[in-house]
Amino acid sequence: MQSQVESFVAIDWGHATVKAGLVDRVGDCHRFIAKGIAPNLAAVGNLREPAAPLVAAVRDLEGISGRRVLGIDGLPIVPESFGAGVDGLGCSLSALPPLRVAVAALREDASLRYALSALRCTPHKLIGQVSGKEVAAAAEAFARFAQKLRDEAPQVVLIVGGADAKPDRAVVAFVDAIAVAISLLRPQDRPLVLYAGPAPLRQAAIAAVAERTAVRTVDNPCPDGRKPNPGALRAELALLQLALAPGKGSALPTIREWCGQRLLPLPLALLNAYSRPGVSVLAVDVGSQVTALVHTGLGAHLVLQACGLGQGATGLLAAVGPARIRRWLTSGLGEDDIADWAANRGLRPWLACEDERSCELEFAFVREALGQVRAAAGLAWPEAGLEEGSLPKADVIVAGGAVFSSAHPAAAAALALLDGLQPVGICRLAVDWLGLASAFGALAQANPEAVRSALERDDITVLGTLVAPMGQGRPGREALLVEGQSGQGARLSCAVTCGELVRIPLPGGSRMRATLRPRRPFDLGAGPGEPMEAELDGGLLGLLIDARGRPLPEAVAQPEAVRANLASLGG
Amino acid sequence: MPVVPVLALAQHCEFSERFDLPGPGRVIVNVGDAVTPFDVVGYVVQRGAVGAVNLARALRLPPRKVREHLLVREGQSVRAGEVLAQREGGLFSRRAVAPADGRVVAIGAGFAFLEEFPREVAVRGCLPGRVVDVYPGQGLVVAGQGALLQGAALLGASFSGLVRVVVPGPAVPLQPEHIDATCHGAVLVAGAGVHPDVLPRAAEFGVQGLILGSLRAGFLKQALPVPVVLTGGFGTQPMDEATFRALESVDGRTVYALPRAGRVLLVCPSTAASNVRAAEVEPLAQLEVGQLVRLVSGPRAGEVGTVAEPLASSGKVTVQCAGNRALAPALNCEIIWQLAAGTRS
Repeated sequence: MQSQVESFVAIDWGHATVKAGLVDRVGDCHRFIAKGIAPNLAAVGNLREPAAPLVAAVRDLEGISGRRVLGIDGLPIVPESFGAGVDGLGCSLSALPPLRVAVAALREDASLRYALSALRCTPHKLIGQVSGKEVAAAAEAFARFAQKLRDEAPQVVLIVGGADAKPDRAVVAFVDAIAVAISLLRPQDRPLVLYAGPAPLRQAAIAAVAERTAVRTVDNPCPDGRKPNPGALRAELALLQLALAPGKGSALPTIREWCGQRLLPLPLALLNAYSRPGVSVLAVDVGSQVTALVHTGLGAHLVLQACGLGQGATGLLAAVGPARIRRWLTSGLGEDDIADWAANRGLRPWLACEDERSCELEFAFVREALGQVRAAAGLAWPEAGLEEGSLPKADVIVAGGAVFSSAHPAAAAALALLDGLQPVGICRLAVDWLGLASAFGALAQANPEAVRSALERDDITVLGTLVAPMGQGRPGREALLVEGQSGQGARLSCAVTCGELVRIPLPGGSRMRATLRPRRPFDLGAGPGEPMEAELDGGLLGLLIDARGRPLPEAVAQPEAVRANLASLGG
Repeated sequence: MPVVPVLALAQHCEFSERFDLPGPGRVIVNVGDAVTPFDVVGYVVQRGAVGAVNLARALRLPPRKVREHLLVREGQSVRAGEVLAQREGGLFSRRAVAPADGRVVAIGAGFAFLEEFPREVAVRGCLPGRVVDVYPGQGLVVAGQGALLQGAALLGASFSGLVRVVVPGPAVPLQPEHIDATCHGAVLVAGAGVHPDVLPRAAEFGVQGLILGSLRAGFLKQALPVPVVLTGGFGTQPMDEATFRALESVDGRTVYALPRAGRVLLVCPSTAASNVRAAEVEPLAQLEVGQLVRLVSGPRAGEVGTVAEPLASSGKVTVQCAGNRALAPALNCEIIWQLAAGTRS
């Protein structure tokens, strides 16, 4: 039987920094002890020692905690012995190279559409795409595809096509043709073939490919031609991104040596960290290069590449345009300043905000990054049946990334979260204060209780409960009446008008039973104008009543509105 | 104490580098040869274009029956027009021919894949110095000595030329009047290049490259007419004093600007020996009181000072700059590993 991991170091290998957090038993529970951090130079260029940032972060942790983690051989001391070392290490990785994928689809049908939606959830580089029609009709197109395979050596060739109810034997001939194209690569360079097609044809597909290269099969992303089921393919692609990540010239071999099997890509680590029976959590992590979104209720994840605050800032700026960033700024920075800021973050993604202007700029990028994932969720998670620009309901929304850490004001973070994600209904808002949630998630299997304790006691900080009705009304008219009584007996009655954002202080740990009466056309989930009873939890900010309307009107993205809303939240 | 990046500014040191070919190929230099970044040190093999011939379609046969009509086998070289497969049948005889010269690399599923003959591509870009080791087919080790300075970014291709400092101080931006016919073939050093006419004028007068403290990111909307090295970053920040003085010390010497590890290396080779190796510079180090650092972000970006006091709880440090103190996030500092000629500080 495997011994329990009582003390551990949770590592987050990010595009900007490497963080190492120490957790150990304190009294009758596990607590976070200290965190070391180092700029991840390996994510901006090839280092002679690619694991140097990892070692530096752990050395920093040793200096802060006073506990020796690395032995004289430079390896972690495992298990803990006489107060030195730890029982285990785990690592979440967001700084993984994008998965290089080529797609071959027999037909341009629903299977291909949903396979591409699953592919969108994993950072990837699409090397090429070919259809059965092109292979059959145009030798030049097939030759171009084969040449791309040979020259750009994808890690995965994803083959899709067909419905499970009517398996088409042409799929097997198509798989055979793709396998011949793959044989242009040297055996050691050949990609893995991932076949996501009808179950009855999987054995035949494996037989057609297995002689030339490795092959895996996964559920058809659209088995009946109508209802999407891309979950299995999505999870498989996320795991393949880690499993196939090149070790040469990277820190991965060292990380694997230190952490063994306790390695997970960022989105799966987040899902692990926040999965709780009966509670659906929507977690977002605004990173340096990517922004990740996960929903524990759906078990779904989404990672948008070139959408972040470091290496992804210039990509995000190009995608949304400087005008959309500038509309959130009260400091009057010009488009040149915005472009300079983004380009500098690409050079040194670990840079911290040093003044209000820089913080405001960072939160402007955060709002747009969150807007991008909100817009992408509908396409990426077709099984959720989301309306365009909306997100699935959740009991808790947790925001992570350096910008949501303790170094930044909670009010500004909460406002950016509301403006960017535009959550609807009643949910608790929280932030990943230490920036270690995903790292803890990589260790969730090793000691679930310890991870939960460290996360909930020390890392996750509850900002409060958000009440945000759907709909829009005329400014100045009443939108919502909140009546409640706190556990201490204090009564509250608060009428919120359309366009208002109101904060009602309610300390963390306290709870209020409230009746929420939205006025038509506002809707909290029970129907337009229908009242609701709810238990509202307090937090660092308290209750946040957002009656600005959903979707948010464009007017909220004006400097005066940003200033006023920030003031309403106490910022 | 927080861990931060280290910036190497060595006015004189020994350096060496293993330089690998980007793929399988051959090294054409020998131990003892003198090389520069613009010399060809090897060749790699680049495979030819791929062509696909649909044999099944040409022969009007199902793919599984094509194999019995093949006239070539995998690995065989063919000429354009050569018959790959033929189906005898009197009046209805059909055949598939090679569209170009090449080699048959794969046959299956009714297709034949042909690859044109490979060609060699020259490899350049190693550090200037002497070849001290050769790994046949893989790469070489070059060693040399001279000044070695790290910059933040190389915008454009590698370049070289004689260093010419054209401004009196690190805060003085490059202006069009600093550039004239005497700058032909030179690498110009200045504070910040903010004037929109500077880059076209530099190209017009045959300037090989610019070394600036910063440049507005807006210039990147078009291709730059001359390559630029940024020592600080994007914006209008001046060049830091330490880098400017180090560049002044190599005024008139040849500099090579080469991309390395996501940054840029400025190398000014010399023949004088040194007892300090650049390999000793660690890319990351802990901040310590008294260390020389430069601020790389914020309103005081480009200023150089010494660490006065770390504030561990806030992740900030106070830095004693010329005459006054600056409070900055530790992550916004870079330690300057400075090496004056012959000594280490």
